[in-house]
Amino acid sequence: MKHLILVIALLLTGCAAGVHVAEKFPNVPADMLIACPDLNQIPDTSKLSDVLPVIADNYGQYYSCKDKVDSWIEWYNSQQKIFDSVK
Amino acid sequence: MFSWLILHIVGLIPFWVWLTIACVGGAGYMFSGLIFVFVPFLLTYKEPFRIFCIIICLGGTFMCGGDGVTAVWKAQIKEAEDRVAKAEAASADANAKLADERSKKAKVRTEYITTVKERIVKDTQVIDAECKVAPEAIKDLNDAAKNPLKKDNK
Repeated sequence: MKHLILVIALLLTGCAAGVHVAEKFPNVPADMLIACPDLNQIPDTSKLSDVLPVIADNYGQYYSCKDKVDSWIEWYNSQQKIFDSVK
Repeated sequence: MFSWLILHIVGLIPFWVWLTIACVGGAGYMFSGLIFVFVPFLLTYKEPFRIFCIIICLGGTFMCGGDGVTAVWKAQIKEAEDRVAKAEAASADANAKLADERSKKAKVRTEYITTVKERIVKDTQVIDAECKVAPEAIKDLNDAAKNPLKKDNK
């Protein structure tokens, strides 16, 4: 009888199996993984017309970098929403 | 081990096989008395035969249940896989939209900076006419453009 109980208990352990499906970490647009560059340096000059294009480029770089940060925030929020919707 | 057993054995063998095994085990146990009446020289094996029949019956019954569990399990896996596939598609869609938006913004930004720089070139004479930049101003501006946290700043 003891052996019979042991066999039944052993057989019932077959029911204790969980379901696991691997989820892939979401991708990110490739250009968002590139770090922001350093600001450009002004060459040695006394002409303001040589200085201004560098400053303009640096402003452009700032907005490019700002856009990247904003994109990361947008990416995170959208991916979180998707993740929450399938839980 | 048991999950492997359920997935790979129960999944392949049809339900009726397990049902037959369970029934044969049950019938063997129930009719063991009758069977051994006709073969009296095997009467010493009656109890082991009965135990064997009980094990067969239990095993078959368990596998019948296991077949149902496998079906439920497979349905759950399919549902989870569908959900993951849907999420991956939605994620890829969101990424494509974001990349598209970013490329449009980059184009506008580049065009704008180009326009400003063209204006600087056009206004060069006016800009340089009354203004001479001191070397200190250049140095200060360059210093301001440097990242103080970066170690290789010169």
